Amino acid sequence: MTEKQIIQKIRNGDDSSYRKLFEENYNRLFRFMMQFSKKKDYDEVEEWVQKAFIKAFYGLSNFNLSSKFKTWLFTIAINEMKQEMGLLRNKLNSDEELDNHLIEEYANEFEWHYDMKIILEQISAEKKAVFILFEIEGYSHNEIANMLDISYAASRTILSRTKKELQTIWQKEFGK
Amino acid sequence: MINQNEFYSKNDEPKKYSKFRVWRKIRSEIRSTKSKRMELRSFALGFATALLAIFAFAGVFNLYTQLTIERLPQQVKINNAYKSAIDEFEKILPVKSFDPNQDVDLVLASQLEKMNDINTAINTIKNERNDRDFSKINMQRLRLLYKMKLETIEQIIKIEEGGK
Repeated sequence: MTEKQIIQKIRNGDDSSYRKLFEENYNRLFRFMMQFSKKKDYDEVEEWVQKAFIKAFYGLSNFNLSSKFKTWLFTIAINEMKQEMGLLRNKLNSDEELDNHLIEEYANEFEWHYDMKIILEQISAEKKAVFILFEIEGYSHNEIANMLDISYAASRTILSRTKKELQTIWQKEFGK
Repeated sequence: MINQNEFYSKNDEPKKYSKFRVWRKIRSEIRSTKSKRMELRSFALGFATALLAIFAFAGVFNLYTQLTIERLPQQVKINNAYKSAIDEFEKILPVKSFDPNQDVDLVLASQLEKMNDINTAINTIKNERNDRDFSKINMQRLRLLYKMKLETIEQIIKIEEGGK
């Protein structure tokens, strides 16, 4: 059964079908949200995830079937976290200017090392969000712009600045 | 793009019973909201049904009253018309009923007493006969009493006018 068919079933009153969407997306959302819990608090992350799933369930009637449920769920979860924890600014800077030079420089040059995850813990939540959504979860800048309510240019620039920051600290701390 | 396995570690994954626990909470939240909605819907439906029943009853009652009035024999309708016309006429009298303690002229007092007697007689006939008793004798007696009442009222008015 496709995702669309499952959503249609839920819309028609079959609540139990929601479990399929939950099963498919729980771990994905949990590990993503875990990156934003400062104390790596499992209970806190469980609460964010739970609230996101409940909100998503009640919003299913407004869900655009041409979109992916996962993208929508992540957006709800990020907003939930934003409101509760203030981890992200209410609105990221949409007027962020396109820094073409920086973007080009880090488009291909950047190389991920697992040690960088420790550095990622130290950088701001908004930079971390753009980085993980693009580099790990595979979302496009357009999708990230919609999810975080920022501009396309802001998403690209934030990503490049994050990569630069990661690389600089990594080279400094690990001497590579 | 970075391989997810090279980024997420085992520590990022939920613990063993986490998924089960969270799903239980979500399911209970969904069920409780649904049952609240159902209760609200039941209440609204019950209220609407009660309202409909009231309207239906009122409609049936109106219809019954209408039919009952329409089914009354012509004679009863005429009698009712007499009665209501005389009652209205009586209402505008300066002295409506006889009060023995009131200082009134003897002639007027006797007329008022007569009218009280007529009213008592009318009421007695009405109380005695059942709703569907439209016997000729009763109808005639009633009409006679109405006629007498009208004449008495006329007398009272004349006496009062003469006294001024």
